[in-house]
Amino acid sequence: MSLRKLISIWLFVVSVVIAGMGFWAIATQAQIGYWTMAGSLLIISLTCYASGIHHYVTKKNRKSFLMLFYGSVVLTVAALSIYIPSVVDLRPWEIFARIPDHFFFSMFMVVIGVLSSYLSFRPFYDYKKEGAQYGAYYLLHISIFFTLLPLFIIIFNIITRGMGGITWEFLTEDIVRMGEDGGVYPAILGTLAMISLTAVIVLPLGVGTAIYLAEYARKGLAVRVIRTAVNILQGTPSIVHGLFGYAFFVLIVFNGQKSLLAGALTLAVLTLPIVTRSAEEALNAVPGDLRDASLALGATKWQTIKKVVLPPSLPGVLTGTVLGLGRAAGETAPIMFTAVYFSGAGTPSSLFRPIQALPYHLLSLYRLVGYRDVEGQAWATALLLLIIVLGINITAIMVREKYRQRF
Amino acid sequence: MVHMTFFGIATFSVLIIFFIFIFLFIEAYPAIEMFGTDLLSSEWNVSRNKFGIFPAIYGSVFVAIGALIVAVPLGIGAATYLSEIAPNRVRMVLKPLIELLAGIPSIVYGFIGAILLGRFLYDTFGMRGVNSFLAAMLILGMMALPIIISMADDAMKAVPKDLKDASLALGATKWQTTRKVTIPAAISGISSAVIMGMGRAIGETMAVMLILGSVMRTPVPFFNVFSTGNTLTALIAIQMGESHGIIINVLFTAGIMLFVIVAIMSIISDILQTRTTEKFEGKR
Repeated sequence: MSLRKLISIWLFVVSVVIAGMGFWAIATQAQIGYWTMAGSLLIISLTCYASGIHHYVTKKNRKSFLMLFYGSVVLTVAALSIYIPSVVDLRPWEIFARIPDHFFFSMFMVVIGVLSSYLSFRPFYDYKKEGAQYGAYYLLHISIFFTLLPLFIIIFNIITRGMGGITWEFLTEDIVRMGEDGGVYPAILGTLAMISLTAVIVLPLGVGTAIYLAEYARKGLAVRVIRTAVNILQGTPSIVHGLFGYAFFVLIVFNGQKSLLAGALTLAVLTLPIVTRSAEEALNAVPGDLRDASLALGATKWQTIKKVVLPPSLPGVLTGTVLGLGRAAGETAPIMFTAVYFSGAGTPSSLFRPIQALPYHLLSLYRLVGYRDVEGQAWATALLLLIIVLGINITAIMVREKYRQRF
Repeated sequence: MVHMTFFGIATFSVLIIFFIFIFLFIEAYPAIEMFGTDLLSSEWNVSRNKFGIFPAIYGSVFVAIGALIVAVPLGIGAATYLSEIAPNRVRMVLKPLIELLAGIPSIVYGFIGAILLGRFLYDTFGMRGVNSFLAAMLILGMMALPIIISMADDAMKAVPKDLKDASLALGATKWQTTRKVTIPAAISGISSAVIMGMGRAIGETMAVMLILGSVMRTPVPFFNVFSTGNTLTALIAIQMGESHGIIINVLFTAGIMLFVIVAIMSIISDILQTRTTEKFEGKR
């Protein structure tokens, strides 16, 4: 391996390490000093110079001046940073915050580290177009990494902090003393009852709409309007569903009384577009030949749908429904005005009585944090909710992956 | 006969849209009649009977823009990775993971965001409290990511292979093909992804409510990300439980605005997507 490539690899490794250190320092609020930062940037800058000069001397490649220029920029940043005061106070501009210098230093390390590791691909590939390609691919890998990082942070934190709170008592008792003691038993039952009821309501509507769109509809205004309506409904904010549920189901249908049924109806409206879309997708996946064969044997359209199209698409249809229910189980806004109380509703006993539900329970506990000793219970509730919702989702996704390659 | 039954069921979605609009409007009407354009002023003072929701409108837009600044580069990067360079096996693992990210309930995001991120920013920047636009933008960006990624990924996957092959055959690298052929061809699909992400950020309720603190004020200066504030969604969610009388009607006005804004975004995104499919239909 040539010295040219070794310098590039060295630049890459050093930059990644420095970016990682900066990231770590931000996360742990470590007090990075000026000289740590300046020293790191100096190493990067010198490596860039070495790369640029060596490349020009051995290959006479003027593109290597890029590294000289970049090295100088890094050096300038490092040198000028000495003028950053130890705390940048924003209060004179009426912004109530102050940014400590170590935050700037860590940021510089992250930004310049990432930039340098990206640029290190250029000299490695001799400033050919492959360098740009692999540099870009490297950045794309970083973006997928930072996309998934929060998922792991969230799951890790909820599991480690919530685990201790999940006890037998927590799972089998009602709230005691505003959630400081006791558990979430009625809330678990309430959530399960609500999504079961939602499923019963939404399944015929969603699948019916999907059958119309996939099997009967021809291009035309009516279909266009229905599709647009489904899309709008899918984008509608959950709080608007909550307002609608309150104005229509609670105030008009049920005379101002919150109830399990009103909540389930609201959630059915919320999940309708999700069920419709995935059911339509599942129906469309059934090949047209099957339909033609059935029709050619003299079956009617409805017989064909019932006997030929629906059976193979059933797993897909059900998966979509279950994914919708997973969403419904975690929603707070649509049910908070239509169905739930924090305490006192007890285990669900009637369709026309209010219930307790896990998401709303978590919200109520959060509001008490700081006034009462409920943070442990709140973490445990969050963990339980996450287990239920992600459990539903994972089951649905696994079923879908299993049946995906049928045709 | 059967045909008409299914048509009847299918019209339900249309009916619901109308119902939502009508019933929101019925509840909002008293407030619109009483206050008129005063509803758009920036003074919210219950004791003086002033209900201007401008701070909430501003907050909704501000927080959504911030969320997009976080989510768009990451989201499009991740989508490009998934659709263009991820090996099939990696893709099969990552796609479900991103779906799981979308499955986390917003109240859990809000709880985590307020407790972990809020406290972290409070410590780092010495703010007044744990609530801030900055924290809300970061969390909302995270929440908008899955929808942006999956829609942008679909858009790039829909670009016909012929186009890419033609570019590769001319000697372009894979990356040049992605940058000069795939992304420009999929641009309307990608924009529709960004619009839907913005719709998600504007419509997000529980997370914003917990993280932003729901304080009825416009940030000063207008770009102050360290300030607390309010959004249309958080305003409704907080006040509905605590208020009665005319305030409820004001909240329904806010609800109508929210509904109309997001519906318009859905329609635009829908049109963009149809355009993409139509563009490639003849070439497939």
